[in-house]
Amino acid sequence: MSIQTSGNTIRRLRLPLIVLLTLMLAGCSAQWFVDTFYLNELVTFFTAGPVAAYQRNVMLFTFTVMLFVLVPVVGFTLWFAWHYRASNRHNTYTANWYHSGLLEAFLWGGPTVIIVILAVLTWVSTFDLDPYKPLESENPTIEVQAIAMDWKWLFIYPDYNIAVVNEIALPVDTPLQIDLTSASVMNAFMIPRLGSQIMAMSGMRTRLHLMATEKGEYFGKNYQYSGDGFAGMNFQVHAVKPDAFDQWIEQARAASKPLDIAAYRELVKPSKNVDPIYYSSVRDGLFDYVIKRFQEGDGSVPPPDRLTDR
Amino acid sequence: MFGKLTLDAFTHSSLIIVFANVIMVGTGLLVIGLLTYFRKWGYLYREWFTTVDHKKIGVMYIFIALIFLLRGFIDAAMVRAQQATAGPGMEGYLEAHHFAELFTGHGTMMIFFMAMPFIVGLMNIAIPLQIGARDVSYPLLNAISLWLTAAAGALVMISLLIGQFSEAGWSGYTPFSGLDHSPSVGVDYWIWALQISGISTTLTGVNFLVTILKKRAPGMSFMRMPMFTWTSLCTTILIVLSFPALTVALALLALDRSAGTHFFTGTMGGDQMMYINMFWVWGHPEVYILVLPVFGVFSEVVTTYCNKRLFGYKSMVWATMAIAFLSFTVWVHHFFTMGQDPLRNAAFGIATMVIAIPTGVKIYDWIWTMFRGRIEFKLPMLWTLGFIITFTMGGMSGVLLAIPGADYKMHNSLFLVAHFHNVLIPGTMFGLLAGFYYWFPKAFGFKLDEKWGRHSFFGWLVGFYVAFVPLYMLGMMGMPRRMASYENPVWHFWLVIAAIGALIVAYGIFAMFMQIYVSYRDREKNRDLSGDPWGGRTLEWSIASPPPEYNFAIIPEVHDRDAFMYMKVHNTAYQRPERYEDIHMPKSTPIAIVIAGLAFVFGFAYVWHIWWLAGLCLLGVIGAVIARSFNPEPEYVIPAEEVERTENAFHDKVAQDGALERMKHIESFGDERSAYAATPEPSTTGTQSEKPL
Repeated sequence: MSIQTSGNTIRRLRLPLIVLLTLMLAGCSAQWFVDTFYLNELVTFFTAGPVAAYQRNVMLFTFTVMLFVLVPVVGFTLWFAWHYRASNRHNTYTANWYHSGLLEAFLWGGPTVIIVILAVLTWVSTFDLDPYKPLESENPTIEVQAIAMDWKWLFIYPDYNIAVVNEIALPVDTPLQIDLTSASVMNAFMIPRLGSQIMAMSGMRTRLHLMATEKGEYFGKNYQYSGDGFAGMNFQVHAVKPDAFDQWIEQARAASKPLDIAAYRELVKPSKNVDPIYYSSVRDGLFDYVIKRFQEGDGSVPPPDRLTDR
Repeated sequence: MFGKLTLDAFTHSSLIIVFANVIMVGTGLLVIGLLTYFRKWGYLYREWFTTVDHKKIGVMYIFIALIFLLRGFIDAAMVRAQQATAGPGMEGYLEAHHFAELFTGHGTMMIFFMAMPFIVGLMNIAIPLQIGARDVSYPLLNAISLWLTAAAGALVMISLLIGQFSEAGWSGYTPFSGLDHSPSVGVDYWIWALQISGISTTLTGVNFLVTILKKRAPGMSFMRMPMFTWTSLCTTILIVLSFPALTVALALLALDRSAGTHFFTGTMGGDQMMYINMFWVWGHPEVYILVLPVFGVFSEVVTTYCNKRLFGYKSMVWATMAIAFLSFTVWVHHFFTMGQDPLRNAAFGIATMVIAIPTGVKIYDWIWTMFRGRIEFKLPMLWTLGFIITFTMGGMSGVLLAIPGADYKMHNSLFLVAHFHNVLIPGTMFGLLAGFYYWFPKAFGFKLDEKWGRHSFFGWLVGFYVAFVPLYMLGMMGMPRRMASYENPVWHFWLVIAAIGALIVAYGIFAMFMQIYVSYRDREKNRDLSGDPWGGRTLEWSIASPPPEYNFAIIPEVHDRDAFMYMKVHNTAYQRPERYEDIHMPKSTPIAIVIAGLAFVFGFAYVWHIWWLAGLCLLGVIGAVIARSFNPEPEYVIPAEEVERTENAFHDKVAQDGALERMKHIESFGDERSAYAATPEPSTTGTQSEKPL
């Protein structure tokens, strides 16, 4: 029978396989694995802020708990499948057996216990990780307003009266409060090493709190497919020391043009793979105005000479 | 006169699309030419196009599914190839909008035109036979459903030639799918393909719900229904309750696009999230519509090839019902990142996890069915083992994503893509292929080739892991889904591996088609004479393969869950009645293809805004239904003598196969193998027969 043949094949190959595996394991250290499979690039686990770190812990804990599901399922499946194979005629065979109250109580009870544990974790972590919840820190929160466009991000720092396209800077250990909206389709704001993503939707305002505890250069991206330029809709995140942050603000202030209505109308036109642009100042209330234009009209901002409501 | 349709619609920017069109049109012309040359049109028309026989309808559903399996897979392979060649400093070979058409087409086709028709096909073939019925409750409606699915599929196909397909993803999120952001006809094709196939599925749902409730053989109480029938019953309930949400969402979106309304536009007070809610109110039950019947297939397979009663039948039934109910309570987990309050997120997250409990029970019930069984490693059993292990991993990543806190991080990443392929490929595809092998002899009268089947299995299994483990890794490396190009060299490494995985799956699909070809070539060697090739337990195995058009000459009496096994144990199987009676069966009718043809033209006309034609077709559909209602003779009679002739021929074959002799040795439920061992058959594996416990 074919099962027996494959069994024989395995038996014949057993020794060479063991030798090969030993050689492979001896030849490669842990570092080899890390380097070959780029394991140090797993941004989900190499985090740079409290939100992402919390999420990593949630995931690792859940994964560990879920092993109590996976290991028995895989173990029992392989064991039973092998042990009760039809060609093994020496096994007990109970064709009529189909019910056991005790066993079924375990089958319902076991998963229930695991899910109860995870439900508690879910409840607690969901409230802790609520993107709207301000983060605790000694330093005052910096506000950012983000507008998703086709296909770039506009970030406004209202406290500093500057705006930047496709670039964010933040001082380490300082919470960032990001308000999001969209001047186009639905987008999702995400900096993988800092934590949560939140959708940006036209005519609506969503909010996200993030903080970096480690200095570094991180990548940020729109995660929600938004059309032709989606793949290039990246932004650079500079998590820097406070004085470097101040320098960055000064650099933006020194830019040649302000973000007025005319500049906004130009910027909002679809464009791909946009390099960072700095604006020395921002028209007051632009963010709320954009939201309002979508709530009450078709979302377009009229030219400066025909602005009536501001 | 022709609305928006101009000659421009036939021009394509990409040579690849032109090439695909040449292939598609060429194949179509070749098939038409061959059919004409061999004069098969009359046969096709009489036996297939106009039939209302559920078995033939099932076969045609699966035929459609296999075509779209190929097309959907080609799209997937092209997506993989693009991402493997569009890394840092590389161009890739596709433009971004073509890439978007591919991932949209892949999702749409695999769900609506591969998985759904495949499932409905298996239901058509198996369910009336399992419940001891001569046909479904509404045979004509069944034919209409089939041809509507075909019409919707044809709309997807023709979008390749005329115009383009949607770029908005298979879920068509607003406002991206609105007219402002997707002005081409792609989204309209997508809307009407889904709308027509959705109506088809709703009709199927109603049909099978009524069939299962009303057409069961005497004695078959709810708790004696085979598991596949049970899970299909739950699926039909889900279909009937959830599909209206999709229909309404798509209708409103169509109004947004063609009548200037603002339901979902995100401007003028339109609410984009409303669409997304409505889509997932349908979309999450849809996941279980796809998965539940397949769970039923696994139940049938496990109990048959373990030669044992199904462990925990009642638990299975309750677990299935629980999953069906819970599937309506979790849709918000598709957009935890929308910005709603944590209370709502936590509630929907926990509801999502709770589904893992009944699902876990089902998995353990299959495992404990293997316990103290006699497991034959026939192909469906291999698919089942591959499913249990792989699906459990998919369930794990699912529970991970059900935690809103973790989902904030993993949503929209390739981790999510890996997760849902990790549940849908083993959970649906593996099971469909297991069911395909399992019921194939019933539908065609010969068995499928085992060797090529195994090649297919290992191609799919190994290919799956090689293709999707990298996607898990990429998700954890922060790569979003649906990227046409990227700059990160690390991602490139893993995407190349994933593309290799797609190649291995391609071998699995190739092997499956080889399996069909080889089996057809050697069909005389693999004839299923007794109608019971696997030692089956349910009623479909008690009749000939392929079954006569009336299925059961005498409607059987059901005494047990394993109705046919009960007959074998009590030596009451294959009995001849004293006399046969005339049987009334529904007549073939061309009305179904007429209605579906009109629906196709309606969809096409609406897409291109040819309003007069669309209106005409709509009137035509209504007229056809009215005209049909005046038909005085929808049935014909099979005379008793003919029934007797057919049945006698079957009983001769049963005797020739030795099934009657074997039956005398079957003493407990699932003793088929001992019976084989006891009777002096050439197929014996051992000489000693053992008494089971």
